[in-house]
Amino acid sequence: MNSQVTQHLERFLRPEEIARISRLELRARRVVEGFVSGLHRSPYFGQSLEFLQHREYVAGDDLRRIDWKLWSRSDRYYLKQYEEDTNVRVAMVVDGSESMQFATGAMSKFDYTRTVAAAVAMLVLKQHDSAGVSVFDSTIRSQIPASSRNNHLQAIMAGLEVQTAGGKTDIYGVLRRVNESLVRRSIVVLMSDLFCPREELFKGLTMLRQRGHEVIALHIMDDEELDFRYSGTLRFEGLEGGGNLTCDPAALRAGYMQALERFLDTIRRRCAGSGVDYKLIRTSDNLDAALAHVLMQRLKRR
Amino acid sequence: MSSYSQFFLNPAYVLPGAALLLVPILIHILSRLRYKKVRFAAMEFLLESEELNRRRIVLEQLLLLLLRILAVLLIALLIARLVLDPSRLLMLRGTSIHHVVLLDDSLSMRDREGDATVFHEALQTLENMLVEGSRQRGASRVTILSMTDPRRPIVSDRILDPAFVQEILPQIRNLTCSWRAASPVDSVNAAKDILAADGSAAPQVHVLTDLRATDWNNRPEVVAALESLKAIKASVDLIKVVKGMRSNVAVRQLNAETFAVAQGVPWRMTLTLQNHGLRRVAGLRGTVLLDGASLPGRILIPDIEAGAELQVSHDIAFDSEGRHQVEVRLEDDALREDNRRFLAVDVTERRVILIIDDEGQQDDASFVAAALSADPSLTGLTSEVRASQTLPATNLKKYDCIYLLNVRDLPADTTLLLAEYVRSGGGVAWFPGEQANVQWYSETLRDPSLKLFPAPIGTVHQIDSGNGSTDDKNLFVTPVFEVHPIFMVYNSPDSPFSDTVQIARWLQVTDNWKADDSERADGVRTLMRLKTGQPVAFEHTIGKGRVLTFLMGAGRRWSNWPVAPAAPGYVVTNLLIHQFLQRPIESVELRELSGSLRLKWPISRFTESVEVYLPEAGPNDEPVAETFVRLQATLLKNDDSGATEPSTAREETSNPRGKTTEPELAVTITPAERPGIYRVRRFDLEGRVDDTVIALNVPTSESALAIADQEQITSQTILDHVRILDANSASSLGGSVVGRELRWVLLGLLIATLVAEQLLALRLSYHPEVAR
Repeated sequence: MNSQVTQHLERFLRPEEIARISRLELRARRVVEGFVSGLHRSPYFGQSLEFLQHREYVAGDDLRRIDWKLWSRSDRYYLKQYEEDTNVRVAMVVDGSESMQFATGAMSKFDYTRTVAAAVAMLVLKQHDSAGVSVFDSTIRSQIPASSRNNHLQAIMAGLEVQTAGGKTDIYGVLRRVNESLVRRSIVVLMSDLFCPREELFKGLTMLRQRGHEVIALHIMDDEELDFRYSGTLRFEGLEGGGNLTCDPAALRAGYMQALERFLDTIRRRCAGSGVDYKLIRTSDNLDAALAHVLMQRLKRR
Repeated sequence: MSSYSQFFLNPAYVLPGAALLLVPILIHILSRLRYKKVRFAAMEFLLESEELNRRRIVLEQLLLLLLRILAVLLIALLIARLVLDPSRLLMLRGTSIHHVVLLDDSLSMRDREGDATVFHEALQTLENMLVEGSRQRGASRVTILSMTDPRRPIVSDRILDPAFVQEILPQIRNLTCSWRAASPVDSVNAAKDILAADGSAAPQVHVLTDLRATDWNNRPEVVAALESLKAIKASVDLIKVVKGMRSNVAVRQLNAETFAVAQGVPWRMTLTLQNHGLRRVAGLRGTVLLDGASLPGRILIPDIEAGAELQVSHDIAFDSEGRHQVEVRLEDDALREDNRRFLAVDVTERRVILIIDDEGQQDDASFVAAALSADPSLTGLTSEVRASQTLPATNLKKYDCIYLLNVRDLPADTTLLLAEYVRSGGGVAWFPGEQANVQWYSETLRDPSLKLFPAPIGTVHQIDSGNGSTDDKNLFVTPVFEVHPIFMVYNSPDSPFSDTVQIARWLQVTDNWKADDSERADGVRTLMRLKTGQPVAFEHTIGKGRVLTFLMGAGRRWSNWPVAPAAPGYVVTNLLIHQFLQRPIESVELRELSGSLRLKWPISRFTESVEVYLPEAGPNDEPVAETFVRLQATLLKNDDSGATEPSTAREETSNPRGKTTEPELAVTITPAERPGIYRVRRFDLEGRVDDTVIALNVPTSESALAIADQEQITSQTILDHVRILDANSASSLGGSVVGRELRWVLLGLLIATLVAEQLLALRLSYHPEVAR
């Protein structure tokens, strides 16, 4: 594929382009197409059913796994074990709280997040892995359980499409319920602006890790939240009841940036401490950044 | 007019300007009220930042607001044209400024700095001021006065524009410095009168001067004159055009005992020199010029300490009769004009003395004549011995002085002649003798209208050798000589002659006459007393003449004076008596250049036609336009004669009694501006020629070139309207100088405020880096 085409396709990963597409499924498809086309080869796809070892049968093993050809030669029951014999389960936890409504660029944080979620689900399902989605605000609003069925994508899309953000975040409660609903070890992808009580957040993340889940925190932030380029007298009205303030934002910028930096630093540090994979993503970033991060995590699991 | 309006040129703009001050406040408030709403998620950090920065933000906002108000205030002040000093306001608001320039053209301005004189420097400065001033906007008017003649303006109230400057510059370049002295007082007063009469314009006085200490320091009258300018709200710039003080030696005085001398007889002139510099001056030489040709001998002048005065005498003899011009000249220094001084001397073949002796033998007269004119070629004197009855037929004026020996008494008309002779300057020496009519001497001669004799006399006192006394010492008495020019030979402390004079007889003053001069206080001075205290010689003056009185005879019947060993003293004393009594000659006058040269005479004496021969210019002098002028004298009104002009007190009013009755003629010799010898020719009623020579010299007061202490002038609080400037920094004769300065200050402040406001605003607002 020549570079011109690549550039053309890369265009589809830009948030401002994606924002023009209203249907989430189409959006996701665009993103995935753009993402996949950008890869030179695709070693990560297809089933990896490579033989690993034989193991003697013990009571309770699935009879379907017995290597009958070996039995015929040796008259013993051996199980044939493969390197990866289970599908990856990706549980996406999408923040739908009011603060996610904030938008200054082409897409609101929520729009961005659910596009990413849809694209990830599409990719995961393509690999015949299973994907599930939960959208929460104060509690879990909708939960699409993980599945690898071909038509499961439709369910996920529908779940993401109908939800509109609202309400206040109760992060610990949400994470606990997600935890409870996950039977098998999964990759949990938390997509949020993380504007929630810090201790509860880390409590929830630590809990997920202790249960053996792989946790990815995608921190979705708007440009203005990170850069704070406001000027002129403004009245800030807090989302999620954060209070109001009339001020000259330029005068407060330095203080704001310091506070923000402390916040990001705390999160980065705590995530690293508890083995949570953390990634800060701006809504102006190309969407493949999030996808690539998740898929890299998927590769590590092989 | 309200109180603030005196500080503004455009007071109408003040209230709107004050209202404008509300604008930044309103904008500030409005900007706080009008805001955009933003729904924002990360309020947590914003609130935290606000908590931390609240106080700082409020302060910065206030400061910004203040700066903006200040900027508006400054703009308002600029538009309303603030003037801090209301006294200067008039100058700016008035449609015009009237500049009066006082040009110092006194003699000291001839001080040379290199090739050019200080006066040239002043002219150059004046030219620059005029040219600069004509370029500026705003109508200014100009009057230029000279200090020596402030009542005749060089330029009188002209509009200062380029056309006028073109017209006046040639005239200004041709101005010459005078040789006169000038005090700033007259010109400052003249300027004040001009400015006071012109009420419509803002007054400003510029004085272009060399600022000599003698004119400006410790002169209360100058301070008073300058202070009087304050009353008309005039500001004064003293513009110092001289760069520094140079040393200067001046011939302060050139004088002689007499201006009449006999041909071939040494004549002594006295030269007074003063070193006005700061260093001792050595090796000076003086040259004497006789009728314009320099004499071979030089005057060697001893070293003169700084500030010191020195007298040098020099003798010359004249070869020919007539009027001779004597000039003494030093080598050139900073002020070369005061190195020259002029004198005129009337030289005759012999000076003649009249000796009246009524004693039959005329013995006494022969002693006096022998003393005075034993060898006329040495003394230059001849004496005529006569009896008193010839007096009425004699023209007394041709005699230098008259000895009256052994006169018993004189007829009334002769006495009057004698009195007039003395009053007009003649000298008389009395030696009454034993036949004197005591009553005539004591009463007639002492009549208040005559006052020819000093004291009432009585009997002759004789030390009688035959009255049984054997003591030789009682036969005579030694006199005591007071210090006096005629007793020079006796006054010196080691004189061998003082004890040789022995007096045997004398006329006693009456007992009721007070012997103490100071107690009597009638102008009579006792010159000689006997050791007994008896006065025997007096001196007094009448009019211009002098009278010497000896209460004894001139011959040896009275004393041993004419004979050895006292004879040498007798000879010298008589020569000195002649010198002391010598009638000053009317035809030579010594004057200084001050005021105008003016002559007055009774109408019966000369006709009104006057011819004046002016001095010719020397090789280094400025060229002279004319060397001869013919003038007409005018009739003087009686009421303004004499008193108004004290400098002309020594006029030839030969008949003082006629002064009140007889009208006088007067002439002012206006071309007499430069030093030198002026010959004035007049004609009496019979057509006979009378020549008077006037030696006109530069004033001595201008030679001190020390520059005034500026602090002393400006530190006086009453002179706070006076500035002292250098020639370089002298401002032009332009418009609103002061206002412009204030404008620049305000403008500078405004710019600084705006810059500060911008910097603060930049600091307070967020400016992202330019996007890549």
